Amino acid sequence: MSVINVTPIIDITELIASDNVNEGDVILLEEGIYFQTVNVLKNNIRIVAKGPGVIFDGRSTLLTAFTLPEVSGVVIEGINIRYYRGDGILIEFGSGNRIINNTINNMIEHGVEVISSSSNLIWKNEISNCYDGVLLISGSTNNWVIENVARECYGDGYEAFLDPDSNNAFISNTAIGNRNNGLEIYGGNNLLLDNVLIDNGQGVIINQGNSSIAIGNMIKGTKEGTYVIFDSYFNHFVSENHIVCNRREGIENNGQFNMIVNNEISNNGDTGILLVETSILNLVMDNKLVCNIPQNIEDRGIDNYLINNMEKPCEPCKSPTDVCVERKDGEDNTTDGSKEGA
Amino acid sequence: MDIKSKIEKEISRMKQLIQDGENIMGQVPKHLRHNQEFVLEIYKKKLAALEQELIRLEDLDSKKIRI
Repeated sequence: MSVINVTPIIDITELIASDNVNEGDVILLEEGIYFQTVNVLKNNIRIVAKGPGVIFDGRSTLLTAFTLPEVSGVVIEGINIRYYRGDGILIEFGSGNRIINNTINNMIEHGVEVISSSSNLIWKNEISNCYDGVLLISGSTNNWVIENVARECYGDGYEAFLDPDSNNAFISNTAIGNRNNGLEIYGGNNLLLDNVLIDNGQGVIINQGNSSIAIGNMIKGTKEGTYVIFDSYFNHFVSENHIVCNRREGIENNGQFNMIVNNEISNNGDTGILLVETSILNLVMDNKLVCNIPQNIEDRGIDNYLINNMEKPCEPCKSPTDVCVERKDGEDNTTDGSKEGA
Repeated sequence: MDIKSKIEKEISRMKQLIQDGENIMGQVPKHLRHNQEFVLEIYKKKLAALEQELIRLEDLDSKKIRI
């Protein structure tokens, strides 16, 4: 194994393809601005930034910064990527690749796109002003999407595109101010754990499949649908989520055999939990619902079980808007030291 | 969103991306073009897969209507 130092004038695709680079080698990027697309065609190549000033700039001309087609064990770490016409990092038919700690902004497509790939790790990347932050598509399974931040994207923060995009984990990610959904998750057995979704167009969409799990997520400040489970989605488990201060319903369930248990749903501008006409045999239990207007729970479905939910009305002369504005002001005061003592 | 509309939207975006990518190729320095063409082929494969999926769904729909 060897460490190969690289500067912006080197064609990295050509270098990796050459006999000078073998599996397991580390391509160590010197600081500087790189104007190129790197297609990694060998397994187990580690491409690592030497310092914070490694920048890949597509100058709105090139398509991707890194493409990983049919490779495994490739690492892309610590790189700033900006102004590409396609994706920042594109994995196609790859597995076990590690995309770590990159900063990706201003892609016309996605920050990271994973096509027909499995078991990849996408960890601690900061993505802004792209279409989707992270997109899993065309049968991408068993991928780990952990501790990323997706901010102000034109599409979704994180998306699993259709039902073949199953068995993926989205853990401790943040989505802020994205135009569409914080998490748009199609497919089965996906895990949504401890994500924070703030001020997105919509919060969480669950569609096409069954048995996904959402635990410990926080959804706040959503403008349209907050947490929507689509018709014919079944056996979805939703627990210990905090759904507060959103403009519309807290949870809208259209599906069947789902479990909505022990969530805190408060101060939303529409019903807290809405079970629409297609909702059948869902279990809604032990939820804490406070000051959702016009009501905390509405069941328009058939044979749903509502057990032991704690419902509280709004405090006198307080609407959800009042509470949420007060809360926001309080947060601003605690985060902005200049206001202390005012 | 309806699944067919979702796929159609993605197809439309992909077509635009591929067209733009091909149009801008003239501005890409010659020594970088090969890698761009390689990426374009991946996007074209993705587009083809999406179109295939859409056809499959439309076939399913038309079968349902016939039944």
